[in-house]
Amino acid sequence: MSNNTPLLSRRTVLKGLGVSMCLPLLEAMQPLAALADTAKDKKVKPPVRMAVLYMPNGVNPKTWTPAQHGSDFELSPILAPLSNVKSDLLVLTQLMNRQSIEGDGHYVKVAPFLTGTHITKTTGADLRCGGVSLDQIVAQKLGNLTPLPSLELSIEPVTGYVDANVGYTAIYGSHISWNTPTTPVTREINPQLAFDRLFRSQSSGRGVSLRDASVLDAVLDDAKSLQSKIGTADKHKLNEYFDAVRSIETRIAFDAARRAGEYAGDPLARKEIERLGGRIRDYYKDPAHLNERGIDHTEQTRLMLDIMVLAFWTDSTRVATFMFGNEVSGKNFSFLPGVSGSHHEISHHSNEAAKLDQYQRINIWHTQQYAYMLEKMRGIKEGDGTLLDNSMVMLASGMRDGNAHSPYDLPILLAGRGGGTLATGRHLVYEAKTPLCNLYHAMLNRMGVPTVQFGDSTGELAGLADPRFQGVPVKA
Amino acid sequence: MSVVGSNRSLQSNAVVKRASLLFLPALLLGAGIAGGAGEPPASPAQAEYDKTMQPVLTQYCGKCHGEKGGASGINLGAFHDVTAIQRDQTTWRKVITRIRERTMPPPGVSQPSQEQRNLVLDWLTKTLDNADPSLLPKNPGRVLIHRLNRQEYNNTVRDLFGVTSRPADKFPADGGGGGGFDNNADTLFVPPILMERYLTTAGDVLDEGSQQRLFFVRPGKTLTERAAAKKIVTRYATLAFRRPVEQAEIERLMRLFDRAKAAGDSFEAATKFALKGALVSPNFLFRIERDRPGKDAYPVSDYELASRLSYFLWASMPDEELFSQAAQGRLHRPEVLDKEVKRMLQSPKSRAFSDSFAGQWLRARDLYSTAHPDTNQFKDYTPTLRDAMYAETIDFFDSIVREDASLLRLLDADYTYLNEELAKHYGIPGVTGSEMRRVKLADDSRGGVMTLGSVLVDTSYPLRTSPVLRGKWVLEQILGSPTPPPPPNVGTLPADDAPRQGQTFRHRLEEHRKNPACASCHSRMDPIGFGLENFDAVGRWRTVASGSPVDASGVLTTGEKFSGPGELKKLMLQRKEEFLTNLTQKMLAYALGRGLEPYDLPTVHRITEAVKKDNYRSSTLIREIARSYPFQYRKNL
Repeated sequence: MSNNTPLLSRRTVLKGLGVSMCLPLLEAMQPLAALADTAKDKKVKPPVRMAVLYMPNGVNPKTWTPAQHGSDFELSPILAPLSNVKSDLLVLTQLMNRQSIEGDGHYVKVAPFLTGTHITKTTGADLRCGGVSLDQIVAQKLGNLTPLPSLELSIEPVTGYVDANVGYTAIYGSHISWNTPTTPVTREINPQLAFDRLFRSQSSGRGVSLRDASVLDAVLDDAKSLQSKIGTADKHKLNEYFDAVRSIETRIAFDAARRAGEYAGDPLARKEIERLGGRIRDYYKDPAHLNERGIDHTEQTRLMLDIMVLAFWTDSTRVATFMFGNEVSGKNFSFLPGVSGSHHEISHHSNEAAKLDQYQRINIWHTQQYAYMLEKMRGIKEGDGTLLDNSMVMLASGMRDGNAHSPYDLPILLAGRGGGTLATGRHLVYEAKTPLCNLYHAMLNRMGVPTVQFGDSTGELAGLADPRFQGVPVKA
Repeated sequence: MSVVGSNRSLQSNAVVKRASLLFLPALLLGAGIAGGAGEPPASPAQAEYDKTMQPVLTQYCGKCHGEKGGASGINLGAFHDVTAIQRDQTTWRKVITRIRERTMPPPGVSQPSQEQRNLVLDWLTKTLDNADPSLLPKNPGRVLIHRLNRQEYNNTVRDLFGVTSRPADKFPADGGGGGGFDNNADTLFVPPILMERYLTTAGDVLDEGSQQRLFFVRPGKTLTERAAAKKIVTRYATLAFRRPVEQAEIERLMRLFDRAKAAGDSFEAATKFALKGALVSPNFLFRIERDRPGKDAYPVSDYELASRLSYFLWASMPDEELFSQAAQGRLHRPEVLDKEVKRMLQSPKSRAFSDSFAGQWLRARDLYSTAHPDTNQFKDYTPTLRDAMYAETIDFFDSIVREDASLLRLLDADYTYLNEELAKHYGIPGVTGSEMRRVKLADDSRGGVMTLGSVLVDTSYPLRTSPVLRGKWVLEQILGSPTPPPPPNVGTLPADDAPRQGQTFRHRLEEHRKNPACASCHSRMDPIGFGLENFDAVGRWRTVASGSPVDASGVLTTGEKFSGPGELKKLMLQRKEEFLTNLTQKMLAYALGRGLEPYDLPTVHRITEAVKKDNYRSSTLIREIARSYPFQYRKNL
């Protein structure tokens, strides 16, 4: 897309390389540690970061929502693992994504989860989610400030088939990030590759290098000369190529600027990078992971969450999405005590108590991982507060209940104080069918993307910053 | 819209047969009236439409989509005869989709029963599929510029430079679209994360490749460094772009050489730097076919045809022979094309076709992604066993291609491919060693795709088999007749197959079919799955499941009774035409790299007729696809 042209044009960046860096470039690329130091002295606020963690297959609807609302609430059984971060949490009840009502049980709830649009039913041709996702809108606005505009991670490979049963390509069920209405953003599922991409591209000498800038120049010329020889629809495909090349040029410039003193200003971050690199090496040494058969995927998940935290900490990106699995995921959760079976299978609980119990155990595993990430972020000091204080970390599913595939009253959590713009520690119950996009509207504004409307939003979700707001009284 | 998977089904025949009986008196009456008027008697399809379909459509759709309605521009009342319906495939396939997924009639208005829905769906599908090709517009369709997928990238750099390390395995997985294959141009994206890998991998490939092959000339007394480099760059850019290169393209790459030399690089390093540009160029990463002036369809160029063939049958670039035929402008000639297809199938490289096509069609690749047998319960299910199951699938399919055997062997064969571990797992004696080899089967309980370990695992849950998923798999992948999605709010059975409240698992599954909303589709899926119940969730033979004897008998909706996989396979062989149509649709979609459209139906029809006439020979199917109109032609988009 042409509207995500980086603030620093490619020419500016490339001209700057090899010669002396121009000043704006340096400022834009300053490692965060330095920035945080400045924050102390000059009262410059650390940036706000945003992450969305997506759970497939809904939740046990009976044990998700806390019984009380307002600031004096008790965590529900599924939310119990979040007790240490309860004061950093907003539980948001009665939000819905209007565009996901019609279609099928699953796919129309995932692909448009962050776009608020209706997806085109297709097995492949004319793949269209209908809009750009929340995270990518932010990335297109702020992405020029960090080495990576955004980070997309998962632990399950993209589902490769077409669901003939319902007539959708499973690509829809594997992507919540869309950088154009027709282009999903590819996720990394391999912790080693995700880590290398962020932290090892320079030091190992195997990453994209400064010299590659001239290769990119040459191939861009190739691509330009192709434009006159191919059809209109092909040009659209070729635009993806242009966008990809430009994003790497930006990356090369950032890497060059960082190479001299990589995180030198923050030895703690450096140490954490080393430690995580070691854990990833150990992970792959374990034969259970080497052959990809490990039933217990907790460690793989945590590695990915740690990579996100480190990416935020080092200001390598400010926007990230993570999918715990693809929609309709059949991941085997029998590694959990009391669970025997796979995720999607168990989510069809038929309201039987025994199955609801297993479903809840799977849900709890998800909130445990979420708590792990939040506690990590809260342990990282940044400016006068913590990394979590300067972030908004969402945990959500596109349906309330895997049995009913209900698009209403979605399970939504938001943690972190958004740089002091969120009053946390509350359970807010809204009017039934309140647009989920109202939350996105509020998040966009907080990320520095002024928004008039997003999807079907009718304004910012009420009361997020106001500690006195206790939610809409529940009607008896 | 895809037509894959919408051909006539087991169920449709059943329902139509039943319907015909039911409505026989009415039809006779109708025929009598028509005959009395001295008009030619209506075709059976027309009679059925008049008597059965139109009343249902009028009752449930007429209010909004009748002659006076025309909501959303769809006026079903305007279609009075079968030919008119067959002509407008686009509209009526939309109708099929809406009825199938129950979005029409909309909620709140009176709804047809599932039985009525199925009746209309089956009739419509059959009618549209059987349309006279001359009624349909001639259109070769159009494929977008086509990014190389992971397998194609691996094979192409292997053939270019002798690199065998499969570097693209580290690229993000490609999603599936259209016919369900990961070579679908529409769903092959170029995200930044992939572009980064292209850059680093290009350097690796050039370092790892055979340096002798790469530097076939060296600078010397009569050849400057630049001139030598230019020879190398020209040769490899031509191969990499799979067509003659333009001077400007070479100069662009030579600029990289010059730059590297200026920076002090050696001749070798600078030449590789220029080639890095070729390997990251869109001309390499995409299979590009150029537009020609005019609105009419036109044959692809011989070079483009060479790539279409090589990526179809080798999942790789063309070889010298194909390039040479293309250079002489001979490749499109039928006799040359046939000869090349034959040669290509005999080459070891065509194994990639078996791997890519069969691995995805039969969903064997799911062994590496979505299949999660519980390894605590099934300790035999080891990584090596999984690999052997995958290899069995590909070896078996490959044997049929390589021996030019009948495609019907896919449904039932008296051999399979095993190594010691897999043979032990299956309970077949006399196989030792880890290498896969062909093994003759003693009886008909195994053999054919339905009893492959990969299929049996993929269609099971972690802890138990699923007759439903197995039946669904057969309907979709073998007969090309998927069931509609389940209504919302449905449950599933427990995760394991232990008896509960004194009822066996099978008994409970049968119980739930008493609900008519479930029965209309589960009566198609479940019995087929029951026929495979002698195989457990990891594909082992069993006669007892959770303490009860296995009951592998079933009754198809068409009334045929069977017991066990052997008899089930015989029944599937009676459905050979549906099987062939489905396989043709799948393979054509794979060959074209796009989903099929209604205008492809005549092509499918022509191909299946030729294959039937030639005793279902596998090479005939492949050759007819290569000869087909959409494979040979394209149209501007």
